[in-house]
Amino acid sequence: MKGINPGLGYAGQILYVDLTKGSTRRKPLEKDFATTYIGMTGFNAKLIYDLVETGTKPLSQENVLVFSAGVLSGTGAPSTPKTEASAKSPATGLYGSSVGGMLGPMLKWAGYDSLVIRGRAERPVYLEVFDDEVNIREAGHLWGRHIVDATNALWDELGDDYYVACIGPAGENLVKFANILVNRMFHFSRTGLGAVMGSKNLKAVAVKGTKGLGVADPEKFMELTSKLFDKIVKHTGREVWNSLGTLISYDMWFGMKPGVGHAPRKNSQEDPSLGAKIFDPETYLKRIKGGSLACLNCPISEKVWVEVKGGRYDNLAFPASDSAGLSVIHGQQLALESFDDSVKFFELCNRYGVDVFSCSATIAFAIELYKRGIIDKVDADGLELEWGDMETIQKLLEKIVLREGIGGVLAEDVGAASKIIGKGSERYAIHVKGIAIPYFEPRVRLCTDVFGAVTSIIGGHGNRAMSLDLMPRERESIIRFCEMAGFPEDAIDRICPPTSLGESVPRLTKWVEDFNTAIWSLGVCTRPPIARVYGLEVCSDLYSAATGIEMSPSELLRAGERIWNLQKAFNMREAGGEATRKNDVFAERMYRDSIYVSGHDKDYEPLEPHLIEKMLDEYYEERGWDVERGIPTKQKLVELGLRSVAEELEKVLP
Amino acid sequence: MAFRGVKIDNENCTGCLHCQVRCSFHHTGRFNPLRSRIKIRRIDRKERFRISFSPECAECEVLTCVDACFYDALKGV
Repeated sequence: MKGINPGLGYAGQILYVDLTKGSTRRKPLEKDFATTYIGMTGFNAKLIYDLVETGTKPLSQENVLVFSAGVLSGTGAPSTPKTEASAKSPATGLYGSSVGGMLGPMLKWAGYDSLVIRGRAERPVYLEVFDDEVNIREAGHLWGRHIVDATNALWDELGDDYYVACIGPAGENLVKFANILVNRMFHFSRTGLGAVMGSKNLKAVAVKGTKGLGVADPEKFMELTSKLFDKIVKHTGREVWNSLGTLISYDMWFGMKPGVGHAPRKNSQEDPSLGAKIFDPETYLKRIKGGSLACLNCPISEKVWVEVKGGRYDNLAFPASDSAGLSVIHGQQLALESFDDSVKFFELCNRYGVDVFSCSATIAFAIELYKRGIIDKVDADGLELEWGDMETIQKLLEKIVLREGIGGVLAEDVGAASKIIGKGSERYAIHVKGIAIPYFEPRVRLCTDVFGAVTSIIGGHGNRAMSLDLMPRERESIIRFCEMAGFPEDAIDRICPPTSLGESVPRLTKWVEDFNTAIWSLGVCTRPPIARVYGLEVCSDLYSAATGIEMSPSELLRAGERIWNLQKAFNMREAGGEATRKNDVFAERMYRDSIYVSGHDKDYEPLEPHLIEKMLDEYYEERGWDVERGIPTKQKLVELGLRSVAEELEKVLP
Repeated sequence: MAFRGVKIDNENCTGCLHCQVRCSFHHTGRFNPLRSRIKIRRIDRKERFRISFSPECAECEVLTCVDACFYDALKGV
């Protein structure tokens, strides 16, 4: 078989670093590997499945941390900054993974599609990659410093051209939701990958690449991308996206539109609409936002340079990757009293290196337990926990980062913390598979993003199932979406049966998971104004134009399915019977308590278990899995070209 | 300021680097901001940007950077 063309679409190499041995080596990217697993999400799935030995302890030196770039990342294709970090998660023991931005393109420019890090350095180090030069350098002077400080110090040392992926004190202290920040802005936040870096004594990865990337068919590539840019620039929502970012969904977060209310308050107990006046777009534009930022090659500038004007945190300035993530979700769950407090909380999370979702959710969990008398002042190290009390909340955050007192328990993430605390606290732990899920409210609206949190490989995060139904949609819109995403006709008939008014959320979830996995493997952003403009067919055309390798739309979608199944197989191999249907479940509160949304003046009833079970039946059936157990059948894995995986799993889950 | 009929508006720059990506591809056949003639630099390590042309830009026949900008940070006048 003819190999890939290095430097055309693919950079053409994988860089392996062993921190125990202090050694590095490069391996050429093999064509079979590349075409079977496409890039980014697929490369990570395959590398983690193959390189992490069964039963590896996530914080041991045997765990493997992989960063991969998408196939189009680093080319001139629109909105392709995507990069994925993966390892076995210290929070769940399952597949750990987080999709972020910008490191990947620089890795590609330096000549690498993936960076694989194993082992553990004896002392704190950072990794410097400058084209072919790879150095493991002393980082004693960076250890203990927060992310902004450490990143600036590295820029002082190496120059501002480097892209720096760095952990904070939380990663060093092995907080189970410690994150990694690229250029102190772009997150790899979920599943505790910062702790994996910390356990390896690896403070940072700094990359500079001067090689750059070409494409196999420049004329075709430019023609395709130019059409795409044109469509994105003309997208009707562009102006509002550029102004508000993800606060574009203000109405949906706060239950201001019928049937939607995705940002519950006070540990998912309270009315989302109560925060509408605090986290409003007007305050955001007038007092918080200093300027618009965009990812690489993106005509949608939904990221933000924060520059607070007036108030307690006058002149607070930093770059933020998401306007709603900057404010709404943790602001609501902690019942913070001002937009300013919410922005400050986010900024602190970025400095210390913790995932804002899990961190705010664990603190909200602790406040609720305190209010209910399940923990007391002694348990809380003398603190009186109160909703919205920023001073105490900041103290708790710092305790988590330092793993001090109650912080050491909360640092385990909500699922594990509730097991340690016991005393019935499990019923107030809002998580899926151990990972906190502080937003997207299933009792109000069960769309793919919400249902997808349950079927998610990593737990607690539904973004892998993002489609278009966060708000109610006409049947025609759903069908158009399915066609854009290249779903087969018979699948579209099942998703939108001619006899029914609405869509089947579980069936749509299956297909959109495969679609998002495929386009992420190309490095394309899944935000609505991007993914829906691209569509599957253009993705496959661009793949071919960039790499010179033919890839049909259906092969690409099939690869998405293969990758999804391989990630699931990793969970089955590592967790056996725990990675089956019984693990695909919402937090207990969702089945027990109702939630009132004043914007709709409506009480939403708790979820009915049998209806969720029915949805799961449909989902597994659409996946072609064993419906009873909720896992891939041998036949399905073999059909996807994963025979050896199927044989290995037979020994674990006969 | 204006340069060869191009008006630079630093305030509008979002740091998307598309001008650099296109410039480098046009002049070197490789996508890479570090190979670009047009330069985008952070001011005082803030995500506020300063755009500048290099001496070679004086001879550039296409100024593909202007065409690449989505945000009117570079505009033909």
